Amino acid sequence: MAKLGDDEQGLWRRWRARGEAAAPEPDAMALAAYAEHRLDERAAEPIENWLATDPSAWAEFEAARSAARHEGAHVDAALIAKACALVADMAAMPADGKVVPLRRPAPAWRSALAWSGIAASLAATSLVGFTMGSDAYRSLSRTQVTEAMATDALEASSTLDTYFSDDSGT
Amino acid sequence: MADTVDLAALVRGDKAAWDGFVRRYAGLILSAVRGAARAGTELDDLVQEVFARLCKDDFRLLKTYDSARAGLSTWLTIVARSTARDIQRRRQIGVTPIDSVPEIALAVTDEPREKVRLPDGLLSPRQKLILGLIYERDMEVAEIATHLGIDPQTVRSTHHKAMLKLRSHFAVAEKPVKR
Repeated sequence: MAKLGDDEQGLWRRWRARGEAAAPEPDAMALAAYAEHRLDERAAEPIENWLATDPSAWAEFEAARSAARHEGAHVDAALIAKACALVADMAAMPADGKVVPLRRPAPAWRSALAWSGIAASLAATSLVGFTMGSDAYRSLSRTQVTEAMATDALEASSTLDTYFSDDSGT
Repeated sequence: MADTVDLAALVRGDKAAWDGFVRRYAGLILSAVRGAARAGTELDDLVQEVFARLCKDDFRLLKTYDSARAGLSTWLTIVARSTARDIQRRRQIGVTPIDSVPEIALAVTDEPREKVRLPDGLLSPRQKLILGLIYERDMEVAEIATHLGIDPQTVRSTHHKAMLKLRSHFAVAEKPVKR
């Protein structure tokens, strides 16, 4: 292009400086169609908006497009085997379609043992709680009895005082 | 690269079709993720993750591919790079100590913000893209035309129309207020 004037670049910079939020990344299918120039201008709008507003989008998009044009790199056999193993061989599965569970079912005694453990811990907790509660009640009631006896003794002595004082007056 | 894969068999879960697909495209996927991977990233893990994503949930992602819209190689490279970026973004979150970030990355830009209110739809996405490629990436018109698959004359006219719009709006905004 003929050298563009500074004022045009300046106008663009002023426009850019207003700051525009990056548009969301389009889905891979739309991007692939755009990369192969299969979209019209209207359909290309969301992609071009993303490319124009996300600073890293253009480089990323160009890199993907250029990678698609080249033959692939050499890949280790081990990596291929690992990727192949991601999909199970249906033919190797039993003919009746029964799927072998990956987790072994737990034996019945283990379940019984687990429930017994829970029951025993509940019983132990209840016993400890009951014992502690009873002790607290016993010590509390003993204190109350002592206090009641002391009050009775004091009341008795005050009655005697009254009696004697009344008596001295007569 | 010619895309010759029995897609119907592939999404049905046919083991032979899957194995053929892996052998055919593993190299392409490795090339795609290699360009997107940061130093120290295990490329094999990224390739495996791409294949895992393709066949996950009964080939959900692979089923979104439409051969009428784009070639499989193009689609796969876009999926592969996007997967690689996602994984690296996930791994990076919360593991970069602030001391290791260069000061320049934390600096607040002093680029002046435009005070004039410009309508969001003033420039079309294509106009914005073309102006960005010309002024920020220093690309030539012919190069842009090739990349976008359009005629060079269309690039020129798009640029011209965008500049007219910008000039007109900035001129209106800067017109002195009469007292």
